[in-house]
Amino acid sequence: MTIDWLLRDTAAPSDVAPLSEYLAGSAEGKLMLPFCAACQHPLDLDQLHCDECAHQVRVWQTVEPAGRVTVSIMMNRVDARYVKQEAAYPVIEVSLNSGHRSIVSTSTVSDAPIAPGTEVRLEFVQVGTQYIPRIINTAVKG
Amino acid sequence: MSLSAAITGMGVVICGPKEIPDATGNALSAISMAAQEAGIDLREIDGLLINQNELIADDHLTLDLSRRGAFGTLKVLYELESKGTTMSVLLKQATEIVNAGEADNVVVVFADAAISPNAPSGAAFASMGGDTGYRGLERAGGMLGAVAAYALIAQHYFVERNADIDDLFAVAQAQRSWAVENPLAWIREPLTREKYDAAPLVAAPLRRLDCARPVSGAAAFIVSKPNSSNSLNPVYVRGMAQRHTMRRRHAPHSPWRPVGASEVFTDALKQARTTADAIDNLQIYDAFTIVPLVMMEELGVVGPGEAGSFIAAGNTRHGGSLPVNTGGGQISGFYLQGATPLIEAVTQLRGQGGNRQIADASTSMVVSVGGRLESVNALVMGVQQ
Repeated sequence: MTIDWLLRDTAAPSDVAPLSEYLAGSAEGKLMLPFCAACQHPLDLDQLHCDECAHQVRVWQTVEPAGRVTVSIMMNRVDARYVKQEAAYPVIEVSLNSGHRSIVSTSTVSDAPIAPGTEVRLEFVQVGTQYIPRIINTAVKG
Repeated sequence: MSLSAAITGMGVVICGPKEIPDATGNALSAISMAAQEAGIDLREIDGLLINQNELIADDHLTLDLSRRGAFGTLKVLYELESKGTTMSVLLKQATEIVNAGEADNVVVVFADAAISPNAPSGAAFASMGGDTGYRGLERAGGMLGAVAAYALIAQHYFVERNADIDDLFAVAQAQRSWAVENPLAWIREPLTREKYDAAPLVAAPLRRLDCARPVSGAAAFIVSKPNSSNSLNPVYVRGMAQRHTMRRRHAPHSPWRPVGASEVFTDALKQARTTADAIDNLQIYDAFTIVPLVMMEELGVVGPGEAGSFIAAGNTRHGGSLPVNTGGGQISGFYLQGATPLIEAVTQLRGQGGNRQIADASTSMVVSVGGRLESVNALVMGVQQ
């Protein structure tokens, strides 16, 4: 996989719970997310009980790495401890087709936000020893 | 009728940027000031409620504060963490403790050591979050610090309320107009659009002047039964309501709205046995300019999408229909988390506002928020019990 253009290795997340299943999936190029085992309601990564039906068992499933931009911002203050770039970069909130929300940037250099409602697909880039989802810039459809 | 417990003393310490912060030392100084106002000896303090604050600094208050001070035998001692709403919750609890006779002179205290000569304003907040859990994953998405989180909230607000940066500027300028008259405020020059636009962007659309001004310092309140030893008029906690809806990261939950804010508003007024018309000043936890815009609408003070024009028309300034953040708030005043709006409410209700004093101020509402607008608390305070 591609080395991330944006972040230094210091920004890599720890693979301890609750990110262990998520990051194990991303290492294989899969977007793995939790759902309620009873009603299939999407759950947060660290959520143990379903907020829809109160069921207490969850399952991790591979989901389509695609969704729609809800909002995006530009990070103008660049923290050199974590960021390789000197210029502002986009941070985008994506509502995945699975119902989960994710905060991501782009997989290649970008200096602009992405309009709300834009359909996007994700791919993984390498940050330190972890693999992190990013929006495929070339797949952006406004 | 016997008097209810009230705030009878207040102490505030704000360090200069060149001072080495000392959370415990500053807290004890603030407590001494508050005790002096209340007319009590430190050894008469028999309750100590500490705002747990592990947001950014390693130097924070612990229960050991009780050993390092010169308090009497403590009948109540604990720390509490309820994010930005903690100080309001503690003031309500202190009132109940004194009214129940469990203790006579209860201190509620907060301290922060957010900046130091080697750590400029905002630097510590920029990297908060760590490498684990959601915050770790969000950091790997390039989202660094609280400003980015609130920039996303601002963009949601812009999209759903047809708002823009003019509305953020309206908040910044209105609050600065109050800060001009507040000797404790960090920035006291009037704010022009040119100066606002010249401020560096931190996380667009938020500029540096849209962000709270972190300081190192402390605030302490003494809650006791009012008596002739008090040097200033007592301020009563009359009602409080809160909702806590932690931000879920999946549908159908909103990624930005503070759930239950309108209920908090009406419940707090009901507890205080008063109405919205009686509120003569509103103090909102305003870590970012987007917060007063969102909260005024969610509380129901103005309609959806109306806050910016309401503020730009001067309604929240001195002489306006609803003065808001009358000390400059956290943005132009100082960021002592949930203590900032409480300090200003007490100042106004005591008539100590100087040139920014609201005539005959008698009822304040303090609205605190926590996390990413996940916790909402409304506290009604007044000069009458």
